[in-house]
Amino acid sequence: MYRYDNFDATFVAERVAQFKDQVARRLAGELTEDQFRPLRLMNGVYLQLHAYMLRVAIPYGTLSPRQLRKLAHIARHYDKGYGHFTTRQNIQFNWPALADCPAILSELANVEMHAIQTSGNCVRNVTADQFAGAAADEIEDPRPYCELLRQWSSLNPEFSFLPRKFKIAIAGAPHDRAAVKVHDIGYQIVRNADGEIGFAAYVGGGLGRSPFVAHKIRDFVPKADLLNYTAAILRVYNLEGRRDNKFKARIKILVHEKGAEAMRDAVEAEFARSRDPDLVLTPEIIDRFKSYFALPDLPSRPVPAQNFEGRRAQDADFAHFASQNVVAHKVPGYGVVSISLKPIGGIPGDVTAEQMEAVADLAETYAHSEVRVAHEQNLVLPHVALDDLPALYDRLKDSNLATPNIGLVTDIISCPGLDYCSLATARSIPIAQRISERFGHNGRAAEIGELHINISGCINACGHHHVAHIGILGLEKKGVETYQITVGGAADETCALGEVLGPGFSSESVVDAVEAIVETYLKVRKSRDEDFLSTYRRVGAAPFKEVLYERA
Amino acid sequence: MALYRNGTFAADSWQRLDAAQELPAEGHVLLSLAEWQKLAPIKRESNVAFGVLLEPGETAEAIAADLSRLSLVAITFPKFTDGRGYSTARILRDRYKFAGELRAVGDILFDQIQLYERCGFDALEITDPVTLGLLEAGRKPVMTHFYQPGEGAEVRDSSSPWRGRAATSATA
Amino acid sequence: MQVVSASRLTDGSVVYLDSRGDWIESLACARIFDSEPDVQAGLEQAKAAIAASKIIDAFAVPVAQSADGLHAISLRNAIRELGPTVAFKTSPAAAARR
Repeated sequence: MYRYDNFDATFVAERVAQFKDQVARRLAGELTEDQFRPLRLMNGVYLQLHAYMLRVAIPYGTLSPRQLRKLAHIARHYDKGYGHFTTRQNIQFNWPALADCPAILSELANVEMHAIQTSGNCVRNVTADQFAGAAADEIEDPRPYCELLRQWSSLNPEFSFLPRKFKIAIAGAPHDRAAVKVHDIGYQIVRNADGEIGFAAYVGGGLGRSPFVAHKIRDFVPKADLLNYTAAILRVYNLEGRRDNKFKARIKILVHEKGAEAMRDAVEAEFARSRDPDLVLTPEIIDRFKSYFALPDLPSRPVPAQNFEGRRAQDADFAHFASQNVVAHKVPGYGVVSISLKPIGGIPGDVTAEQMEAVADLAETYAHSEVRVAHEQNLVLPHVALDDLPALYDRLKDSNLATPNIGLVTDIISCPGLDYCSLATARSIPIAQRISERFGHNGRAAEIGELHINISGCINACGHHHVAHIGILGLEKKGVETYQITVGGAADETCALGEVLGPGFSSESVVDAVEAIVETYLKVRKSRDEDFLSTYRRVGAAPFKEVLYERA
Repeated sequence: MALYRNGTFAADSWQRLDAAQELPAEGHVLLSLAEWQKLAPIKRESNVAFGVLLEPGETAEAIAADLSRLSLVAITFPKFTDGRGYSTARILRDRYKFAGELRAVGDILFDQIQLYERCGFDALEITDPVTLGLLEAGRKPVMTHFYQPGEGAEVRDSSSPWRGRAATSATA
Repeated sequence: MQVVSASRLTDGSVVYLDSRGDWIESLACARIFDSEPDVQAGLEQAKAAIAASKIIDAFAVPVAQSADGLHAISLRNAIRELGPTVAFKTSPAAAARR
């Protein structure tokens, strides 16, 4: 993974000193809250319902065991002993004191971490495929490019006060695990007709109250031009994006109002005029950044993996875990293991300090000291020898981290909702917990197959409900929580926004409604091989509407 | 209000002229974009040094052809959170090679000073009393390491071409 | 019936204005305002506390007397008062410290 040099270390240390001074001036009354709020947000500090919240950046979701232990320490020492992984591959602490935040940031700096630009109207954490560098289907690891973008966008003087927040994602494989088409900029790594690798550029995607799927504005951005092309997009947005209405300020609205063609023309014109030679990525630079993310030296392992195959034949639970939570690695004899943070009835994405430490230990013992955070709020051990999987599985079970439900109906993405968030209009977590309980027993989830449920507690859509197979949006009507259901959304390369089925449901009835949709799917699917999304795409929303609204 | 130029407080010789006022025979005169555009070509050739004040939404392109006649471009930041002026400044410096004074006007606060400087502003009109107090006490922004090319006194760092350091720290 | 609530600047805790003009953590001990002019007076006190960098984001919270005492009426304010409705997992060391 990327290692700080002296420059990076000094930069982060200076930033911590700057924020420490800003906090001191705020506490002394020299900064008003209006003046301070953007400063604290750009250092990851929010004010939520009960307390401040600190969002720590995990660049492109890559962590070392040492960093994870530090997060555990922060959870235990400055918070209430747990953290919450987010859909931006970051971690949030729900209870820190403002006065402690400079000390926390200073501790993070010791392990090459920070909270820079995890909020604010600036370029946020650049996200990537959680299987980057390990997945068998990958064209190229996106993380070197994420890191280049991270550096260039950190405290960028021109782009620190954009009209609104700005999210960039890069996917390295044809199968998009990074949801690039619902980002402000999504880069898909592609190979062109000449066999060169570069980026297809998508602009103007996003969720929130006006969801849009991004438009492709360029088929191929050469690697050399990644920073300059991104700068051109940001400059057009900074100058032309709306600032009169917060809800219309994202680049998706600019692209929508201006038109994708006009946006492309404006970006191309800016790119042609403003190309900065210092931002051109030479092959030497690219090679250097790639070397940070080189595949660890994975010793050759026997194929087939005897240990693994033996346990799989004897132990149905293990076999289920292996089929659900492990995907193919690019190196034979290895697998990519997802650690579900969705125990049945649990809070999606929450991890205790002890669990973080357990994962850190396991990563060191079995996974070449690498941990990833998935935007689905799970963790990943990207390089595990299949023959080590039985031992790893047993130890995950000891820490209640072996839930075999990746991609299933109980692997629910949920924002914190009204239990924590000052913007929320309804609770999300209790709905996720009840759905998980409803489907989480007796093999029911496995029988249903791949089905993504995402829950947002307000229209800002942090829970990505628009791109779920079944999406749930919590709203408030006359003081009561109500939940609107969509079906047919998808976040991958077939990206689509879900269709609203009809009027919302009460908190009491929404889980029954989800169950009715799932039961309908089970009745109409052609076979077990036709998953929920494929079935929806064949039959449309009608059978689901009927079961919810026309059955008296 | 005080003018902070190139890291120190300075006297402001610029006079803002509105539509009703007569153009003086000499001196430093700051006009709105509209007033500048209305000014007859012959008057632009007088002994007066001209500056133009750009409001949000008014672009660098609008004065690009006139820059050889301008000694000052002032850019308004109505709120410190409105960042359009940063791009306008960079376009003036990088694309049009404007070498005159670039001045930030409006809601200018201590914590953004470095952003202004790094986008090419060499002068700031400051009204915020706390910001004035900090600057009068000799406080300077603390960041000396930058992850992207900036304007002003910065030297490229050897580690990567887009990295730079404040000139003073590099020699320290 | 309303009380005036805010967040404490230093740690973000939920606080309420009491009859001595202090900002306290218990809604049950908060000063109750019965009329709109009274509430406005309470919010003026909050403005002074904001200016003095003690609190942020003050607002009036409608409350009602119930069997187990005085509580916020809306779900949002009730969650602010009583904490998350979900049982988050905490580690023993952290729980002991807080």
